[in-house]
Amino acid sequence: MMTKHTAIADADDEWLSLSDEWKALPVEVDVDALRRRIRAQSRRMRVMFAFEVLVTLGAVALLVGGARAADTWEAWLVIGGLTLFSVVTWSFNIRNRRGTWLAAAESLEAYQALEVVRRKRRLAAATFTRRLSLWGLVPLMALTIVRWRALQGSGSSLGVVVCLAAMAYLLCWAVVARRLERTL
Amino acid sequence: MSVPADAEWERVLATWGPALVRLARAYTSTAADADDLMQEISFALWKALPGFRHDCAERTFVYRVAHNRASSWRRAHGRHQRDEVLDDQLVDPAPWADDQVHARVRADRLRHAVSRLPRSLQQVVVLRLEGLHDAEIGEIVGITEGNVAVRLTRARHMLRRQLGGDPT
Repeated sequence: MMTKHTAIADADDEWLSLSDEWKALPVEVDVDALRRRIRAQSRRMRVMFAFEVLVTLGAVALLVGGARAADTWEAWLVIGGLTLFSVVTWSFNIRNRRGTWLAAAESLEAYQALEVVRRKRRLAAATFTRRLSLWGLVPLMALTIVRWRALQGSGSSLGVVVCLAAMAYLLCWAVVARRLERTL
Repeated sequence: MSVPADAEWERVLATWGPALVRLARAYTSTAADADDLMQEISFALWKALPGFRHDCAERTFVYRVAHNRASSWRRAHGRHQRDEVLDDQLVDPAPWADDQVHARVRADRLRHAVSRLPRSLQQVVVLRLEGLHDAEIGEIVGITEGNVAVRLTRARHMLRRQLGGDPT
């Protein structure tokens, strides 16, 4: 008759045997798939970079137009704030992307290291975006709305609507960035 | 967030990497998904290591992080992937000698059998196959030791049924 101890010993032996088989599973990584993924990421990064350049150029054009139209201290405050924002953002972006464009070598270790570096930088970018949006841009937009008449010198409310939309967009971005920080 | 010394993180990955790869493959249905999950686990470890206070074994800590990340990954990607065939991981026995072929085929059959278990059993089975004890498994999964034992018994019977045709 099988005792309880025998049953437990048999179960342990069975698990040990299965464990040996389990650990015989190969653990090598598919380097070609990894390389393809790295290259796809690089393409997306280049597209994103081009998009950011276009957005910055558009913002600069708007700033120049705004500076010509208005000549009040509030206008210069907003323009100065946005200029500062652009400088800070670009400084961060350039520094944050350093070393993420290419793998150091055509090897598995280099690809894996690059993937992890890119992920670390995405996390840093998410944190930066959230903080800058919440503590820099949203207050700046709020000031713009409050002082809109002084900025524009006309009764048009289009700018207010644009600023409100921008605030909503930035707040959404902050929420997305926060979620990204948690999931990364 | 304080950044751990990368050397420490690399040491942890070098020590537990193969086990984590096996865990990632058990939780996913394709090699590409497994690679994705492995990358997420690696990064989760990088984030979690500064918070490791050595109040449990390093192995328990590493598996807890991996288990949590793998569970979230599976919640996000859905169960439907389980139905896909692991074509890219199926065995090509040609390059090996007979005993290696048999070992590889058995291992592959076991992986398939584990992948077909219900999720609640699969979690404890993978950890058990990696050599963890009931108490450690309970700590990682968040259930009692008794519950782990019950699940393992049930899983063992199911695995035995699934692997019953194994000629070895």
